[in-house]
Amino acid sequence: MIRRWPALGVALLAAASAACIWAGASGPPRAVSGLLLVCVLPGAAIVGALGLRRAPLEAVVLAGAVSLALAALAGVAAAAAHAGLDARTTAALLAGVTVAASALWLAGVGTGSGPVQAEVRVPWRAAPGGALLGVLVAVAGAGAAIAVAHRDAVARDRATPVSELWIAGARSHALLEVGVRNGTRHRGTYNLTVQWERCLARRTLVLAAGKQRVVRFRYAARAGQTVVVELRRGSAGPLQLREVLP
Amino acid sequence: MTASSTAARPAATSVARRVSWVGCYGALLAVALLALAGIDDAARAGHAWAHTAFWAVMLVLFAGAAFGVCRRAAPAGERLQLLVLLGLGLYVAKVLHSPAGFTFHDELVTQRSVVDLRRTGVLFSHNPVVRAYPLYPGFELASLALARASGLSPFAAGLVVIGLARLMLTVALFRLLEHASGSERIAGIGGLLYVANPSFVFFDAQAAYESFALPLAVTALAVVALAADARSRGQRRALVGLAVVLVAAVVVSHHATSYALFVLLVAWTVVSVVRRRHGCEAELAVVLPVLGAALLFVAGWLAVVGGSTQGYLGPIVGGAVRKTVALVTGAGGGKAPFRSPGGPANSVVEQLSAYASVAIALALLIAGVWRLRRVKAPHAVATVLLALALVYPASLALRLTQAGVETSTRASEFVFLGLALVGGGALAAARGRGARAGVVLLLSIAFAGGIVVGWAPASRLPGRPLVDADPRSVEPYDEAAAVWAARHLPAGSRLVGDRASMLLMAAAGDLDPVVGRVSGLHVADLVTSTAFGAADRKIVRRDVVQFIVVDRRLSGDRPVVGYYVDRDEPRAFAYRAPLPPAAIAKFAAQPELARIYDNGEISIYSTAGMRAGAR
Repeated sequence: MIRRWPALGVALLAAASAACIWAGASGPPRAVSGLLLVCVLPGAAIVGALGLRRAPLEAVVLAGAVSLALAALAGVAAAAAHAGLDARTTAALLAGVTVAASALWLAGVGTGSGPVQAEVRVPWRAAPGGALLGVLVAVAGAGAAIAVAHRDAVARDRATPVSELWIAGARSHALLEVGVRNGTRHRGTYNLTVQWERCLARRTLVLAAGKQRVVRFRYAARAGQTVVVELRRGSAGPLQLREVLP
Repeated sequence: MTASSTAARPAATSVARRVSWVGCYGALLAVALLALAGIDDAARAGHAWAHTAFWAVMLVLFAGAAFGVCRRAAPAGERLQLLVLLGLGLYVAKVLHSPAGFTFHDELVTQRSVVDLRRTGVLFSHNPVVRAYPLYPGFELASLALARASGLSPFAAGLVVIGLARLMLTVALFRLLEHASGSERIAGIGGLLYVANPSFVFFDAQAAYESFALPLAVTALAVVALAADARSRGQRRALVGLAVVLVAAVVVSHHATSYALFVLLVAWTVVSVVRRRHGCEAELAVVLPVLGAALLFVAGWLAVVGGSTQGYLGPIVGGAVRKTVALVTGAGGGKAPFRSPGGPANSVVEQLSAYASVAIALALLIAGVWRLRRVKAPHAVATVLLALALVYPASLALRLTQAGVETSTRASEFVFLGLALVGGGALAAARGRGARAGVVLLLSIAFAGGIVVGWAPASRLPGRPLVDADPRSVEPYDEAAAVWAARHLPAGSRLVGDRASMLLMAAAGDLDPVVGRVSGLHVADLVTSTAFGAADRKIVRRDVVQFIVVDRRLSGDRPVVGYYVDRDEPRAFAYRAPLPPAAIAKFAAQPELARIYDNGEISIYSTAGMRAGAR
């Protein structure tokens, strides 16, 4: 087993180096964060998980290898993003690399012989097959629960009809721009009125779900006068804006 | 302390031993989490039964793992596996609360720093809500790196990073306790006791700097402990090197955690020196260089970057101590423990469980200390953790004042490291018929009570919107206004509003909230006064408040956190009724204020006319 480390380490180191170079090319914060991410967190987790009491040095080596493997994954993702691949393709690529790396790692740790195999304790493998199955079920259950909760939360948010009205600009040149956004899941029909001095302008707007539009009103009011904009939809209370002309 | 035995058992238990406890618990965890997803949705729909169901699922999650961990016949490694599953399962339970975006206070403050870092690429930018956050950018850097490299959103990347940190915390905690006690069973039971600390389920699961730094700190301690047992000089050097890297990561990630870690390393060194002739030379040899590195890093970071955090930490800790002293001397009043200043209250059962959890922790502390009279701690770190456990009663005293609650809650994540060892040892010693069930029952009560102590009832589950209730105040109206502000208002504009609105405007709207006092006037009065007067104009003009965000719902209920704008406002924690409608309507009557945005619940006013009039 111990003989396998150099080859595995060199391969991972090469991939990790490429990832780090790519990350470092984008500026110091990314380089620092990459170091934190790929070395400290997973490395420390694996070191602890593998039971340092029995094989500290080997566990450190293994932790480094896993950290580097994560760096390689980050490199793959970065390269995919750089090449313009879409998220789905990148995810598939990542999944493939993860499976391959996991298989390589398990094969290396689990089937080897010699001092490392004898000393490094791998909790998930040491447990009966039922334990591994239970962990997989737990992971699947957690993933499904998050997916369900996410779907429910997003659906509830979308069901809240948030319509928005705002003054979009160009107010000082006798031109008022009013923004309207329809936040519901359905088409919205709005009555928009703009009132200044004794004048009144009306518009009827039809907006698709989640769409917005900027409506222009021309007016001829004096400085210091107040322009009131009101938006109504059905029987719902109006949204109202007020602008004092400069 | 003795190691748990896995020697041959009577034939009657052989069937039980063939059943994988981890396998069964994994299946239980999956079902429980799916049920919790449904319960969260029922809570969003306003079903009252969701709260009872929440407690049932959380207790099943905890007790299931506890039964396995407390087994005397558990095979090697199983307790660690169960603890890891429990830790991650509880983390997922927190994720299910807000699965579509950050809603907790610290997460939103952190989000502002992440957004700034992503946009500018410059470290140590200004965070208008909490100045200290960008000065300790470890979490922001790690999550942003993952987001950039993988294409994940900063939200998803933050969840992954904190999930990894949670994994690391449970593993390192187990290893630290195992090393200190010499027993896997004590480590497992101690780990369960740590999970019962008030910060574990929600506070330490937030995607924020403290949740990131704590696991790094515990891992640093675990690695130092393991280095003391290293069999060769090379191994010891490798582990000490790893510990130094971890200490460095803690120092750049969170102020209080780095100080706590430093103090623990100092205590560890002192105990090792005192006991160096009694088998602690190895510990002294490894802890000394790590302490030296910690001193260098902490002092260096304080001198170069983090010096200004004293202005943030000082008032919090100082206020907690002052108010507690005032309470003891009769110069000040206290607060009813385990009660929220506003919003939903804890039920009687919940309050009883909170009192019971404290009583259990105190009893375990006494029993553990009593037991240690006869059992000599094998390592110096065990003595350090014992001393840490003795801080627990003092941390409870802080909880008797409003100002001390935050300090007490945050102290628990450190104090329980010691309590886990001492209490774990006491519980592991329990023998006799029904001992395991009794231990699981005690731990389960402590766990439920810990949640009650550490997290307000309004924030445990999602639900109908509440006034200034952090996660319950992040609603589509607030989010829409913040998104609009990010698109249409100049970044960094100064605004005043209620706490929840300002938080979202800072996190997602890129605006800078204004709080505190201006020329002796409370900025909060601008929101809470019933008429717009000369003092309000003065605040707007002198503090260059550019926008005022007004939430119409403020007049519907009292603020759940106890205040509308900031904790120093005149009537903080003393509101008996909601704001009068006049406090909301006063802005519309001001001709110098232009209402530039409205979505039915949230309005945004521009003060340009008022400030121009002053010139």
